[in-house]
Amino acid sequence: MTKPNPLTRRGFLSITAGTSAGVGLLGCSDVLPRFIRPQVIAADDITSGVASFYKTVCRECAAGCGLMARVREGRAVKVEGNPDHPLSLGALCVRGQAAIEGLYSPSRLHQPLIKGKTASWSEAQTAFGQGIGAALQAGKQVVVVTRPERGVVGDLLRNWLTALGQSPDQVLVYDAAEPTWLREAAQATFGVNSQPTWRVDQAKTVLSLGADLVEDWDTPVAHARALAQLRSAQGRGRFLYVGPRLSATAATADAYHPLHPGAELPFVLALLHEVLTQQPHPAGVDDAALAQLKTLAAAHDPALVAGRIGIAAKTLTDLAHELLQTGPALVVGPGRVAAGEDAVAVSQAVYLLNLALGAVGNTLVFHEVPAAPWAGPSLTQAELAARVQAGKVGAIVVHQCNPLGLATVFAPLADALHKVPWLAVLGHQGDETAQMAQLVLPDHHFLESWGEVDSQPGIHGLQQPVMTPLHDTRAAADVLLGAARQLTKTTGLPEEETFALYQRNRLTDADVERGGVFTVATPRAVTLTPTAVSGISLKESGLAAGPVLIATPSLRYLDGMQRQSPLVSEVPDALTAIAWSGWVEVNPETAATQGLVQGDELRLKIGNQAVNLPVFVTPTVAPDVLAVPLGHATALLQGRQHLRGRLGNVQVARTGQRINLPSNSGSLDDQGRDLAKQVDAKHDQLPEHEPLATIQDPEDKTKHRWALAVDLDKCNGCGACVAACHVENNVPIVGADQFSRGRDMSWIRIQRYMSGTALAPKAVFVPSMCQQCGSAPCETVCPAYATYHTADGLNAQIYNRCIGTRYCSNNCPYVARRFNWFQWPHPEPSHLGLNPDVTVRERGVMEKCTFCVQRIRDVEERARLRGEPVRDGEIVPACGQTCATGALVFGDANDPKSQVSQLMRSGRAYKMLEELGTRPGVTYLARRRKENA
Amino acid sequence: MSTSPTGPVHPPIEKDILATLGMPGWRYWLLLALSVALVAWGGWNFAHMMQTGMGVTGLNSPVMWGSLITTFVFFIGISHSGTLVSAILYFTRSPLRASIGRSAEAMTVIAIMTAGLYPVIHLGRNWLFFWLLPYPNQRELWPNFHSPLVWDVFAITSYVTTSALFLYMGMLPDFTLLAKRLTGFRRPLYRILSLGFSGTDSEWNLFERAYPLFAGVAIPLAVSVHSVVSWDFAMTLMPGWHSTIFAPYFVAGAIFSGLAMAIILLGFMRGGYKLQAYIRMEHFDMLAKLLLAMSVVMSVVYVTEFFLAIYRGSIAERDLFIWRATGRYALVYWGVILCNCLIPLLLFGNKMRRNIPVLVFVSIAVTIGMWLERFMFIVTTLAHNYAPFSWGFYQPTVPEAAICLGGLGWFFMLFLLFIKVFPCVSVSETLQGEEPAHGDADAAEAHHA
Repeated sequence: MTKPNPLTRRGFLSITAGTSAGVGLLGCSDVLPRFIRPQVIAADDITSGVASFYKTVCRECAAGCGLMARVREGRAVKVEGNPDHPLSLGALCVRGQAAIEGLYSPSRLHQPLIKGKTASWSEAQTAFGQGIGAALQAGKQVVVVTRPERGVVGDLLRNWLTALGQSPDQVLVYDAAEPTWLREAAQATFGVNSQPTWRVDQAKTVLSLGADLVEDWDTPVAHARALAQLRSAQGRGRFLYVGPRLSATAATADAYHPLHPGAELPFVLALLHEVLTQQPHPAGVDDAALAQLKTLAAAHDPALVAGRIGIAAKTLTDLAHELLQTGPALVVGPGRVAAGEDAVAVSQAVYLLNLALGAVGNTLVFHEVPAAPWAGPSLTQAELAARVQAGKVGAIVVHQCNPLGLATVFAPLADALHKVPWLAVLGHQGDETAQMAQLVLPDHHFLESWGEVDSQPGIHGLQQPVMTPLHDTRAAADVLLGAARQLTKTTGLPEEETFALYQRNRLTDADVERGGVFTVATPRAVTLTPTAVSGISLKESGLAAGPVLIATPSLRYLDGMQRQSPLVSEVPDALTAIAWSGWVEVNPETAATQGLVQGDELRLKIGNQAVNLPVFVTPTVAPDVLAVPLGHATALLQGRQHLRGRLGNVQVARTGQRINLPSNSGSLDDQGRDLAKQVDAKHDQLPEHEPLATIQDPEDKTKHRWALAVDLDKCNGCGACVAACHVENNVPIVGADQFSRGRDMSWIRIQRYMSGTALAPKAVFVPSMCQQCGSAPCETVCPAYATYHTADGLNAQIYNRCIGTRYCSNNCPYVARRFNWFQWPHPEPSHLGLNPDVTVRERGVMEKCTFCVQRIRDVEERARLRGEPVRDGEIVPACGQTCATGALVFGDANDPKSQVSQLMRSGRAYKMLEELGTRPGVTYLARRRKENA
Repeated sequence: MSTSPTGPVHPPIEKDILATLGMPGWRYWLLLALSVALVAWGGWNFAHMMQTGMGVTGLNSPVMWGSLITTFVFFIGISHSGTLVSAILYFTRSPLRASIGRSAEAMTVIAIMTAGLYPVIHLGRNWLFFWLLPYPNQRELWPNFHSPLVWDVFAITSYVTTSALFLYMGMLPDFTLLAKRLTGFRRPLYRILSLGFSGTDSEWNLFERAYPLFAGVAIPLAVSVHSVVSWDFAMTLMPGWHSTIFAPYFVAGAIFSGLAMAIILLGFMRGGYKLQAYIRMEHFDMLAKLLLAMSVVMSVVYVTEFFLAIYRGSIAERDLFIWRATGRYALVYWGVILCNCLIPLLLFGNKMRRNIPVLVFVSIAVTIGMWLERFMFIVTTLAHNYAPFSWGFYQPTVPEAAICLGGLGWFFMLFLLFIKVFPCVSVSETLQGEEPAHGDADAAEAHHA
């Protein structure tokens, strides 16, 4: 580390000055020092205690939602969705919320590694140039393996290869999560090598075929919002789900129809038959195409196939009727859980069904700009492996991905990486691939670097640094440019000293301040190829009788390859409430006949691959289906080129172990206590009941009464609010062991209550936090006045005053309080990311949701400075801020015009455990159900 | 006064009681060593817990109270019988009092000294325990007088003060006697402890007027202290706790467990110190009858509680009671029924009530049963609360068990030290009971000589 001198301190100040102006010209160039130190004299435009906000783009998954980072005293402390970004519109998912945790992760690489030993940047940069130079000298190829990069970094990679005299196509795009079957089917059906764009927000009736729109479907945040709006709009639309498992997406649907794995193709064709029967002349389909469709559907009369697929002919008729009745319609899928060997054929059939419904070109569109992970041709794994085998490849540069994390799955690629003579990694984790490499050049975290993400056609997100790099890292682009300059092969490459300067010169201030360039892309017209129908093979799905294993995707683990973020791991799964570890879902009927109980470990074997996982008994799967989370099933994926969810028939054996599952789920259902209320969608009204007899004055005669409305009809259990709360309120992460002992600290628990039957399950997600009771049972019992009632109706907790009797928690009927059983660690440097507005709690004290009191006070202060009252909607707690569906609405209950007051007067409004007389500040709005669903 | 050529002849009681204060035998040392070892083990674990955090216990969300609070309530219960029984026996002029009163009162004070440790041990930040006390401070912060835990502080401190004074005052005449009979360093010790009580008629007159006052205050306090402890639970709104039956239920349970502990202690003391002449079989018979009566009362309470839970119409409460009997804690529940309701029925047998081993067996069963009962109702309510999603499970860990057993060790250690330092049967009262006039004169003479 260089000795500090006055220049570096000034340099530091100019960094913060630059970034805080939102210009960031000098701000993040790499010529400046990279260490953080306290500001003894703050820069002129940094006010201590006042946050600055910078817009950038999230790189946690390929969706590329817009971010807005809150920076305090030069350190990012929280990320939120960029309200101007068309995908996120201010919301964010659980992974995005955890980005801050990744930025300050203790597992990040701090400096370059040469053959596993730390080195200086000058050494490492020279070594990198020499390595590439040696390969070129020997006449060998240089290949780049990268994550999907569709912006300036992608262009730079191609130009770099060109400058080196290589083909720009010597790139392998590593995107394990991409649903490749959809692109292949698009090629076969419409001759377009592109992922389609699913315009859920334009549709009125959406049928999902195993597509978990809010879990792993290209842009989950945007889809979650679109589905919530679809279902809440006037003249409400319909969302239907057909698939092998009641996923979180399926749980939010108006109707869920379990479909046996392998029955996808007959189901889609039968539905096509039914659609064409009910509407023999669909608009926009020419005669030739119609003839093709009819030929295809002819053999799939629902009456004939219904028995085989386990869905009644009547249901198929109704589904077709609903899709045709309320347009525009859209059929989405097949999703990962519905994708097996025949996934391409099923996808083709889904496209044809959409064509028959008039959705193609309307709610299902393709674009000129390919919605592919890479703009241009690229290598396949087999090609790369063959070239390495033939000794043609001299060097591989791995950029921001970890292909060896799933080495068993992607065997050809792994083989290539093992055999190539020289391997360099530009990443920021010491992962499996980095451990293999001769040279590891740590890249900045995405919150520290420049970049671009074209997440959807027309949506061009700009990634800018929000703070100076935390460690001695260097932008990957600069490493590449440095090597090119070292080898004097710079033709066509940026001339600016650094990539940051280059990028900054290209962009306008307005674009950077907006966080991107957002236009509406014009879809291209598509027509059926001659092989569109003949390509659909009607061969059987290859499944035999007996249990079928499916791997279920989740936002938390994606494909299981990404860094396992402790924060994301700590947020429990929506349906099982299991954190940290894997499980296998088993239907209660199967469990009863097999004598299995929760926690019994099973050995699941497909072919000669096996994995051991504990049982979670739940009706989310049918009796002949077992489900495991995708991120915990990688051992079963060997030899598969794509991560498809339908893994096939499985042999099941007991290991005899019983495992204490790290789940905070006590009871699956609400034990008949009607806690998660449901209403008939038509009436939209809960039964009237007498107001509670009380001797207390039920009115809160305070100026404000802060309140929260939670719409159970909108919540999909995604857990983003839980992660947001963790980051905002410095809620500690306890780890798998303490979690399994019931010591999880999260201030919000998403209580999942199942209803229905073992064969027709339903689930409601009830986000449960401190209810901020008007007559709080916790307040009277605390001997030390550590919990008390504020003048604006909050139920406050004074950590300093708490001596830890835990009496308050015992008297809380909502079990909303969390106790600090230990001094929970905030390992360095993660303590730098703590929110300075919120106390870090000591061991031995109680804590709980505060309604983000720091945000309330902040807004109140601002309002006071403005000399105006607080506006409705101005105060947004972290949970409500990140909720894509708008399920959490905060405001003043004493203001009759506020949004929350209006929701509290809704016919669906009820208070949890109202009969106890606690007068909660949280109002729930009952889940809507179709009368017969 | 009877004299003989060789000097004053002391009544045998004096000799027997003085013998208990002599050099102890190996059995005593062994018991004391065991007790001290338990205290050391518990203390070590407490220190570890204080350093690491409450996480070393099995407690969790939702079960935030467990075996430590169970042990607190248990020892409060143990404390109950001593002073209360002694005071009642005093007013009824029962001959039983002379023999068991002293040890029962000592048991009370020691049990409270044990019980009082647990609320402090159990605090998340126990170094700040004094925030529970109302003391003037510059921040003008007072404890929350709405909180039953603050009521506990008052109830327990009042009870321990009254009980200690009651015990001490009863021992005054004996101290005077001991100061006279013993030699060496112990003579000035007892002389100081006797506070100058010399056994004059006027002193006895004052004594006899003051003593009932303490006894009179002790009885309502004893009832109130356990009622207040019950309100720790009854004042909440949790199913299974929020019930008006709790105060009488706790008082009855406390008398029950206190009697059992008294029988255990007396049984061992009687054998160990050869006090058969003073702690007689009919005394045990009376105690056994009382124990049996309380057992029946407890059975009635259990049935009533169950009936009310079903009858009241609260789903949460009904589910909880059914779960207690059938769920994961069913073994504990049926253990309680066995120990508290069924085993004591043995005492319907006349011979059983006069058989010390049987009595001690029943009493140990009741003691265990009463501990389990508190554990059962504390833990099940929390584990099976209003929010089914948050239902949980709790089991104590080794450090917790160590801290609980350490308390038991502490209790026995203090009791063993007590009986070595203080007369465990009241000499003056025994003499009064046998020959009232003689006893008075003798005590008076003892001082004049």
